[in-house]
Amino acid sequence: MSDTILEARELTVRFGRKAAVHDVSVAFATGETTFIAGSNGAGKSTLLRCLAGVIVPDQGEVALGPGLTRGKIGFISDRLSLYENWTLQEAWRFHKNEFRIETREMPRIEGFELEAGRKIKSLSVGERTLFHLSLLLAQRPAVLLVDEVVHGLDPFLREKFLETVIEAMDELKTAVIMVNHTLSDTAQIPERVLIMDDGRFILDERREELERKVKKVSGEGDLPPYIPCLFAASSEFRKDRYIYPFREDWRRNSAINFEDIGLDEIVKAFIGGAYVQKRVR
Amino acid sequence: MFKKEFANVLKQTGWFVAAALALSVALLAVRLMPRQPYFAVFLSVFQWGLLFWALFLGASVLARERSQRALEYVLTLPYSRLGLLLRLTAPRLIVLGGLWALSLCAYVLKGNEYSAVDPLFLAFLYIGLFATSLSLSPIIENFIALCLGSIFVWFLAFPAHTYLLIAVGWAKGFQLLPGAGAMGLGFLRNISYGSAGYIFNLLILQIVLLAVPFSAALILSFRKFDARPSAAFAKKYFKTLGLSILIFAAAAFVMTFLSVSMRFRDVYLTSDHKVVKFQSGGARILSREGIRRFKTPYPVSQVKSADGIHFVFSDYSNNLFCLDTAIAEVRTIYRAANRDRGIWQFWPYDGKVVFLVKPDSAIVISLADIDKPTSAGLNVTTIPFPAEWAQSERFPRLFGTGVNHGRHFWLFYFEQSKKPPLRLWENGRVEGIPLSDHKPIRSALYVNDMVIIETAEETKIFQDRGTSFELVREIKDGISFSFYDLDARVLDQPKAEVIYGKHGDKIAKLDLKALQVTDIAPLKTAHGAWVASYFPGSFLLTEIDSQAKTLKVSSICDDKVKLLKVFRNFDSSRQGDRFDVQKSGIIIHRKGTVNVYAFPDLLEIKF
Repeated sequence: MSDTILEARELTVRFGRKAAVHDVSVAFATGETTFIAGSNGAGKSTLLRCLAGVIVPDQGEVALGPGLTRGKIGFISDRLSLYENWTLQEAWRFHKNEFRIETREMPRIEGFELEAGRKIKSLSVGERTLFHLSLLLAQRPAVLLVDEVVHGLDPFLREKFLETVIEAMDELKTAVIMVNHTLSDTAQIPERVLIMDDGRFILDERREELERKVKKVSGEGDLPPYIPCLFAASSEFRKDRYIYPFREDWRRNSAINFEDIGLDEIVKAFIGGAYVQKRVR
Repeated sequence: MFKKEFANVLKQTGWFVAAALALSVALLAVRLMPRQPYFAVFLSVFQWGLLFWALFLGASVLARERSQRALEYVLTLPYSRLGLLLRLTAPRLIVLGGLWALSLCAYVLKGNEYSAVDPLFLAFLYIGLFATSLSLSPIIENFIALCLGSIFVWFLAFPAHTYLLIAVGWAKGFQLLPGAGAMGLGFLRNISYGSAGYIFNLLILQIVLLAVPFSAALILSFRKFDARPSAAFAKKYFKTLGLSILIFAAAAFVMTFLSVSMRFRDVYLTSDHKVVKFQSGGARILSREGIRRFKTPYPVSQVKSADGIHFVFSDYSNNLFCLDTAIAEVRTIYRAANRDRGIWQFWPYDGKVVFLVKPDSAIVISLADIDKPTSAGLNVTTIPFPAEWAQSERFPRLFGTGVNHGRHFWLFYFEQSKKPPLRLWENGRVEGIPLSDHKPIRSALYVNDMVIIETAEETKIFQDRGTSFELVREIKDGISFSFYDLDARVLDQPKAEVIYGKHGDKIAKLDLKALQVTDIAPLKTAHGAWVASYFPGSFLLTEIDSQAKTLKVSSICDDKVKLLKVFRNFDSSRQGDRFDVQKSGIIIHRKGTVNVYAFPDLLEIKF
């Protein structure tokens, strides 16, 4: 890919004997928004930390694209790591000096004000997330790595966070790589979706393509054997089967009702399918 | 990052200095350190407190990042891992260096007066503790465990590698001894005697063997440091550390070997032309019949020839042995009861050996019969020095011995001390001998019941009257008469009539009856020429020509100088090149090889 800005090459990361990320290769393009989803412990956050340089892979490497430096990669971890005893002003001064940011004034997110003299440890999770984001955006990042922080925000701050990120993408052509479980209100953002399980990618698709390829069939009727069922969710009241990869001619040639579904439900199907596979194994 | 760390470390160090100041006041207030000025107390507190501060500075490198949950943030800063490590470490090293410089200034100003510890000695402790705690900081997350772990590693690694190196050194025949500064450390006390001056070697060893591998392990493995639990990093770290220790241990040994030649190897020629080699691990007798080996459990420290057949030697465990080369047998003649005692100096004479041992508080003299094997307490007479000599800060040196009315006596003087020489009789009597007001410039000579003392201004001759010494001659011609009795051999069997020596740039004769000095021949090069006795009545002139790199040996007899032999390729400026005049011959060490030449014709003895 000619406009690759960040690339993971055959990454393996172990925690003790267990490989959290296993031989993963993936490239990210300039200005592209990618969501990484997967079950708990799938290796999403570990991969993101590798890309951010917080974790050094046991094997493989993270290659920076042309012109990209470490200073142009922003990372918000789910731990919201900052010096907790500092005031916002102190944190800003430090961040400004380390990343050689020319702006003098402490960055602000419109409609979201914080006192500069407050200590970081006194901020709520949402405030802290937004403040961290403002620091990172001040360095005008070419890549923004966001690790499962959105779901911890209240609806107002979540909207504020996403708006700010989208603005940055538009203005700076920032590539955003976001690990997220809850996709209900962010479904329209990603251009690309990656799903991980057991340290590997089990899916890497453009969002439109994915929405086209995954369908749901509700009801009890049997499916012809040539239709691949990704995951079947059944309860006392209903039975849903998720089809992947779906072909449009099946809709024409059969009476089965293939329903279009949202990204949130698609991800859920893939994660559910992965759990079933694990049980079978 | 650097500025932030520097400001932070300075702030913390301010608290340390304030604590040292306050603690000094407290110590004086509760009279724990009475009768000392405040500055003296503060200097002690500061010097020793700096040990803990060095430990703290190393251990605190990642502590704040961990306690404030900022480690992940710090790892995203736009620096390489080594760059980050440098920014975290450099401010601490600068502050530690500054504090050490302060303690050095204080020591230079008032150190001797206040008995402060030599900052050079403390420097390697600071560096070692800092390097250890710094190196372990990425793998031990708990700060207190990290500090305790560093202390534990230090006190485990320090004696372990010191002993290892010394053991390897001894096995290979090198005396790798810790310096005098380490004598305060209990576990090194026994092997520290007689090793003053080797402090630099110890410094190299400690820093190279401890600080460098720990630092190297950190530097080499820190590029793999990340936000994972420390166990993952620890595995990589310990692999690197193990390898570093091996490499640097080998390097340290090679460095020490190359920098200082401390190989203990003394070669002697016996009266019956056997060659005896003493090495750190024991002795060997080489003769036509073959080689006899004798091993000592501890390295040999000193050797003295008793009579050309018997050789008395000590080891570093304070045992005294006698090697009888006639029957090829080693006997233990003294075994120190208290391991804290060290054999300082010994001198065999007339079937007896006198030696000094140094307990912590007093100097005592013990005697043992060479021919009667004994253990401590048997046939050993302990003669304490009177208090005025025993309390001397200087060790006495033996310069003469003799027998008067069937009783042995020994003569001692105190180097660089105003105390007068003394005579010690075997029955325990001690006499002070006010021989000269001037400091002797070399060991005094006892010959024909006379003591000859050479000072820079004059040569004085005293006659032994049995219980006192009487000044009988004072030579004050502005030129000293130099005579070397190289191994304190005696001239009184049979009694000498003359002794030859160097008198300015001439060879001169001292008539022991008339007590007159007469010049007999000019010297080509006064510098590098010595006259020594090698047998009663026989004298040897040795002349070193440093330009021609030769050693010329001549005999002096009946006022005539006769050239015996010229030894070529002898370079006195080359480390290890030396010669030793013995009763039976001359031993010459050149370029690491040893040649033995026997009197009277100086024919080489092959061995």
